[in-house]
Amino acid sequence: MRKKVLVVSVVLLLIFSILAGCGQQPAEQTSDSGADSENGAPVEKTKLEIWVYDEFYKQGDNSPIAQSTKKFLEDNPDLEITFIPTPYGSTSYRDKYIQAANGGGGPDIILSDNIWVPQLAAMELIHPLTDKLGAKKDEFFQGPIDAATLNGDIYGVPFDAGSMVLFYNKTAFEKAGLDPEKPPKTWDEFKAAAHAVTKDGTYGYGLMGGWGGSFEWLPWLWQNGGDILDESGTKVAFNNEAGMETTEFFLNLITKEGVVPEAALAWKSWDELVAAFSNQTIAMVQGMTVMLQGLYAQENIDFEWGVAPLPGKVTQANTLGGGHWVVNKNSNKLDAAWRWIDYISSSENLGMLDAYSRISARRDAAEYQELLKNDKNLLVFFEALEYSRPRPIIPEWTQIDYDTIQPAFMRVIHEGADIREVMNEAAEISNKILAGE
Amino acid sequence: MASREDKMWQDKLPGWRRKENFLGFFLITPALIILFSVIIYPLLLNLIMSFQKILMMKPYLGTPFTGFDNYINTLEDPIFWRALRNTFIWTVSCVVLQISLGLGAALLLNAPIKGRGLFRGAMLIPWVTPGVVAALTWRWMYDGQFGIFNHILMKIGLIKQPIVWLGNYSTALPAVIAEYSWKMFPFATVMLLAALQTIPKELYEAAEVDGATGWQSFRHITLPEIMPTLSLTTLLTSIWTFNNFDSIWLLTEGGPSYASETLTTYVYKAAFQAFNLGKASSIAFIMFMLLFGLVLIYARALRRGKE
Repeated sequence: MRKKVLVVSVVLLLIFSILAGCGQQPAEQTSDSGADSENGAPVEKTKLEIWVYDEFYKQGDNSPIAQSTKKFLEDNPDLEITFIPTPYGSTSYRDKYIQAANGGGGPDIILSDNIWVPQLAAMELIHPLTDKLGAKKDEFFQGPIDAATLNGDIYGVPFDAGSMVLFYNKTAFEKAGLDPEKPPKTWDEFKAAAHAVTKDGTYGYGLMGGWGGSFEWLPWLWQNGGDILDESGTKVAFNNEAGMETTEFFLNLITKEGVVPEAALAWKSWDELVAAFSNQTIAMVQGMTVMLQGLYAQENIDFEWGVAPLPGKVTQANTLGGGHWVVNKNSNKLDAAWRWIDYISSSENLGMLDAYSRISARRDAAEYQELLKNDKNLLVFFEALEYSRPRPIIPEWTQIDYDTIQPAFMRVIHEGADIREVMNEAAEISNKILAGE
Repeated sequence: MASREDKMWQDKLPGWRRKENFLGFFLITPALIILFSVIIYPLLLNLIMSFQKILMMKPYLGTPFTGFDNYINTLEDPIFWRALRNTFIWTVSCVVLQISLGLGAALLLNAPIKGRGLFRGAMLIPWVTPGVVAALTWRWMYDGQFGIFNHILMKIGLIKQPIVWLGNYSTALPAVIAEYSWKMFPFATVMLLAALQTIPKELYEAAEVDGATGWQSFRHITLPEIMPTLSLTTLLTSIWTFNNFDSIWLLTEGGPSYASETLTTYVYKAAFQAFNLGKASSIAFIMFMLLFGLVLIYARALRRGKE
């Protein structure tokens, strides 16, 4: 009997010690200022770990962001910074962070897509930065600041920003008898242009139909004075009259007008849109800066193309893209992290973004970024930032998009369902999601 | 001190009470700990979480226990049943395709043909191709505008209009099944080829002398000889297929409109789109029970096979 007890207790002890070890946090490094170095003693440096999308760290230590940080470290010898490039994926980057941060660990700072910021904030996985940012928030465009604001607190510092513009094939416009320097400015002009250029294997418009089209649809909704949420923010409003009108106009382009190729129903990536636009399968497409870089990388484009603001209706609006710097809730090095974030998002550093062909979210970017002086296409993006709106700043947005709006659009496109009926159903389910049911 | 009677008495004791087993238990402790911490502990945690309401987006709600709410919620969701049906179609079709392709290829590669080594090596290519690369390549091959499949099928006159393989309700799931079966069949080939090579040639020679046809040799020599390998391969393939996530996710993400949704994409969406960990845990536990059932059936079949 005693032996049994002994065996069991040894096993349990070992198990618990292992489990306890798993949950324990490594002791945080604390830093004292450079005072020690005067005495010649080795300096205990504060170590910061930063996650960036791998594309920002392609050249390792020679990457622009690392080079820029080197200068920062010369003035801040008490810090030590490690970049951890992480594949962006669509959400795997975010999921990796959520897992790490929920386990009590994770990096100190991460570059987060603006759409994830409210999600991470709602999960209480990142620090509010309102006080740190202070009046500096006015140095950034309103859209990116709004994107990082949840319940009155700002959780992220905007880094790069993107707007959504219209790419159009000037040569196709010319062939169809349209003025290539006059891209469509209204919905009616857009529809007319789409019809005019649809011929000889070219279609007027293309989109990522694999997502049902909700990504492209959102700015149209805003342009028509509609929105996802009502003013209270607790119920959806996308099924009001403005919303219905938008959805009908938008989905009819796919189902009734015949200006969208059937292949577009499976497209889900920028690569596919770039390919379709550059081989003239589609003559107009909504795109963000990634699309521009994709087209620049194509060598065999034998036609003229341009970018223009999205057509408007009641108002101008487009969808905001871009990333924010956020600080891990588990990090107790908020001050050190802030010093770096403040540095990396300052005006003097904007040249670094040139190397990535990205636009800063700062209002003064046009003064500092050579890119905006040399590339008139990018300037269109920059100017459109004035009307850029973040996707709904509620943690439930992704779920509402994926579980209600996208399936509703698919039912219209694939099953010929009635638009008003499915949108009302989608609204009903969305309200349940918002109510937490 | 131990008399003969003592020893006999000890033999009747359950294993863990025998003296000589103390050392045994002590020695397997590390293995037990690892087993506990990577399998039993997560499983128990998952089971507990499946009875809790855990909404990551609403941390202020805490994690109260809500009985069978998550299970009821899951079972009442029509998409769950759709995903379950798709999982069944997905697993059965992929396993049948992988095993039959694998067996066919193994039989061919076991035959004395020229350049056999080269073929054996080349056949592994799909299997060693990283899943992401394979899936993204297949996405392009399936494309409704640029895809090579449509090009070929139209050239030989099988179809008149290009088919948007991944964008149609009826073709999305079969398209993913084809990709995954292509990707994974070399595993079955390798396993079965190894089994084929262990069959003594004399058996076939004897059969030939007795006047057996090729089919009879296959039916009565080859099949029984490779049966243990075949059933093990089938089991492993079934488990992997059932649990596969990346092929489906990268090709369709379960779409269009849940047409290729399986339990793995469904549980992912519950956990990482809705951030409802309670519900996700309940789905995960249901999946575990389904797989457990599969393994039990297999174990029983194996035992019956031995008798």
